[in-house]
Amino acid sequence: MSLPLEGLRVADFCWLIAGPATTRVLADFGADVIKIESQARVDNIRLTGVQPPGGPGSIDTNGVFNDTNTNKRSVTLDLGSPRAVELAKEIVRRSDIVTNNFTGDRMDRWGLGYEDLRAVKPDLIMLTMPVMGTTGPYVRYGSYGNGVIGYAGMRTNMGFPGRPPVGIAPLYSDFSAPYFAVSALMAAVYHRERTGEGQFIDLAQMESAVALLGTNVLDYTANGRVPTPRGNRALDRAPHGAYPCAGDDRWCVISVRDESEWRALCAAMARDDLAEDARFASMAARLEHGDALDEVVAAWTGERDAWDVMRHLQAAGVTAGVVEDLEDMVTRDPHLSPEADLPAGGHLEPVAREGGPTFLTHRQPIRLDGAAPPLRVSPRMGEHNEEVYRGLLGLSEDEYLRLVMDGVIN
Amino acid sequence: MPGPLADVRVLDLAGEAGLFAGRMLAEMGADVARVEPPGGDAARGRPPFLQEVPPGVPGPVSLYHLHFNAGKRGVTLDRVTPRGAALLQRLASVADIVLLTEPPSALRAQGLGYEDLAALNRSLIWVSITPFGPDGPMSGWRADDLVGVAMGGLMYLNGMPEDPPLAPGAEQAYHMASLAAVSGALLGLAGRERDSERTGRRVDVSMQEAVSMSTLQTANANIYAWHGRVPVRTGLGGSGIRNLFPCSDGKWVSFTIPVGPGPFWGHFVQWLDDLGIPHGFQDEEWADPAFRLPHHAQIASAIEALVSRLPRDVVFHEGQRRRMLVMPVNDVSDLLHDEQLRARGFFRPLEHPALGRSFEVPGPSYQFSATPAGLPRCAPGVGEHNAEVYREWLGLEDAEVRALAEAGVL
Repeated sequence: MSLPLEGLRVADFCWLIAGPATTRVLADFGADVIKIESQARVDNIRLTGVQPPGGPGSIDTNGVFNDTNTNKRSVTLDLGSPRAVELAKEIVRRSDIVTNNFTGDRMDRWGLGYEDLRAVKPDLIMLTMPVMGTTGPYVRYGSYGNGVIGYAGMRTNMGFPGRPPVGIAPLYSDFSAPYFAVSALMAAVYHRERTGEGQFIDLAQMESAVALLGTNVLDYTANGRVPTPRGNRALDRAPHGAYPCAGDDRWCVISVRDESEWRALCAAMARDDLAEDARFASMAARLEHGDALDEVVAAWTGERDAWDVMRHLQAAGVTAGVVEDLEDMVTRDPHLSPEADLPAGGHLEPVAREGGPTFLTHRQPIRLDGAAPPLRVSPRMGEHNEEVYRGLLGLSEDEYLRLVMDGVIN
Repeated sequence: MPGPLADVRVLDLAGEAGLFAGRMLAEMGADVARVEPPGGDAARGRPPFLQEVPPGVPGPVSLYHLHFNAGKRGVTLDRVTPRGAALLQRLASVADIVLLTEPPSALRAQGLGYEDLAALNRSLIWVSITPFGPDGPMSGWRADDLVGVAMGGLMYLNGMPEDPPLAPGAEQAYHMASLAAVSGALLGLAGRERDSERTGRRVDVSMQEAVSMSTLQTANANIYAWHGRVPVRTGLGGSGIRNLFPCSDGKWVSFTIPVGPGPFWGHFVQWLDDLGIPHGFQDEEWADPAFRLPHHAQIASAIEALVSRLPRDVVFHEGQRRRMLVMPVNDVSDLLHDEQLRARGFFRPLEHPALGRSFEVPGPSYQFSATPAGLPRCAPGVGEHNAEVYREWLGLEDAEVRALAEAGVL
């Protein structure tokens, strides 16, 4: 079967990470995503991030940029000029969706707000996804993802007691917000297909992070409790944590959900005596004696290789997994590694640009009809200018060259 | 007003990893029927629990169930009985989306595999969340949220480098898997409406892969593939640059001065000058981002000197007024009092008639201009909507539903 979004076009004004990661999903599943960018206002993700060895790299060789912009086309346009705004509207006229993640009223000030664009494309779906949304007293406030997770409570609902509120690893919300945004856009496309009606979607990235607090909000509004750091312990599972393994900074997690898993763990550790130990005889008892419990489990894992621990425990019916670092993911994991022996290959896929480099690229975690969508390398800046301005918009060669000379297409 | 998915029927057979997916779909207006075994399912037994249960209400009341099943209708059905299994297939044959989290082999054994259900309903979007995807050597392994965050590479990056890896708060592997599942389901649904044949789709989501997307910047695969480097836990910053600091009131802020060009550095130096904080940044070389990067420890000291003079919320608002990337590290109590979230109406009261109470809960993460989203109801009681769902979906009379209940099928 074909990809679900074939024939759908997206005029994409997104930059940084959360926005481009959203439109990348649309591009991967068949939409024609035209990234509208500018040499006058370079997407910072083209500049910061990992570059290939042996040189300073360029705006076209950044690993993070590639991972958030596969399957897109890129055109350049200096939106400071009125002619450029007209060209942007011509792209929008031929599009179904417009996306951006600018703070405040940037699009409106260019004359590219929802009302302006609806005038050229009445059934348009427009997504704006700034950190704070498009309304409210903090509407002009800006942040990267590292600030969003702190604002949203994702640094204080976890941690080891007495340690600084480091929270979840930086930029987490940059990778969760995109799936909220894709969901909202697809719901709006569904509605448009049924009714012919487009609409405006205001997505505040920080709200989409608050939405990931699970029971933390209800525990506060119903019970008045603010979550306290409890390390890797769970309220209803024990053992539950990361256990040290042989080597430097190597760990395996183990999570025991019921008595049969506990007996399986005791047997796998050749410690059937523990199953008789009153301190560990029930979930409640194990939760109460967490320190002693962690000590006996760690004594068994400590001398062993993390991957061996996981394989041994999984074979014995115990929920366990290596705390994978990047080397594990790239070289050892039998599903993530590019070397994975799977019908469709591993999750990390090498994607080459002609003339280099080859980027190791995340596939979408979504397979449709058993297949991973094909990945085309991210575009060089302005790579598709001619294709879009001459092919899609129908400009003559003279008009096109004049716009390049005038710096409108830059 | 109905959301964008009004008239979409979702059959929710998901376990823990997919509960949030059904909640999101219900919030966007879908009719989500959650199927539980007679007596209710395991989600109703998970902590935290409501502390003050009104008299007459059978306790304990799980906030986990109240949160993750909010918006859904509840039906019961005994899948183990042949009549129950047949009834379940009938529900699937009139659904638009079915959400599943059991291993594919278990689903096939129950007649719920993709081929089984596609044969009954060719427009069905069949959505399966599994820990590691449907194929490969780990496909039959056990995994809960802890294994998901560990093997997706996220856990290794959380916490202080000198501490063990830290599990995120509030089950982020389940959330990422659910987000990918809703995205996949709605990509399929939107695609189906654009297809004259209205053909359904098989959607497979790997929890491990969904989690791994969140590592795409901090541990971009090319950091290892190109440079052989393994990023470690990010502690008080990211990329070696500290950005978390305590303020004069003991609360923390995230204070980010982006690497690279831009106005942020100048704003920062101006703020130091205005407060009369001595610094050595007037020398010309500091204007060069390439010079600043290796001297970040001096910059961190200056930030520390600044924020330690002022309370958190003053640093936050004054920093944002000065166009700096400063955000507070909030806890849940801060969020419920946050002016931005209040002004946008993010938290909304949800009536729980059986408890005689209303609780504020997180609202939708997207504001649709034409089809506003919002939870239609609180989480259901066990079998609360048997009569209406079996009537509306299958045309069963109340007497037939009663007979099924008496026969032990419901």
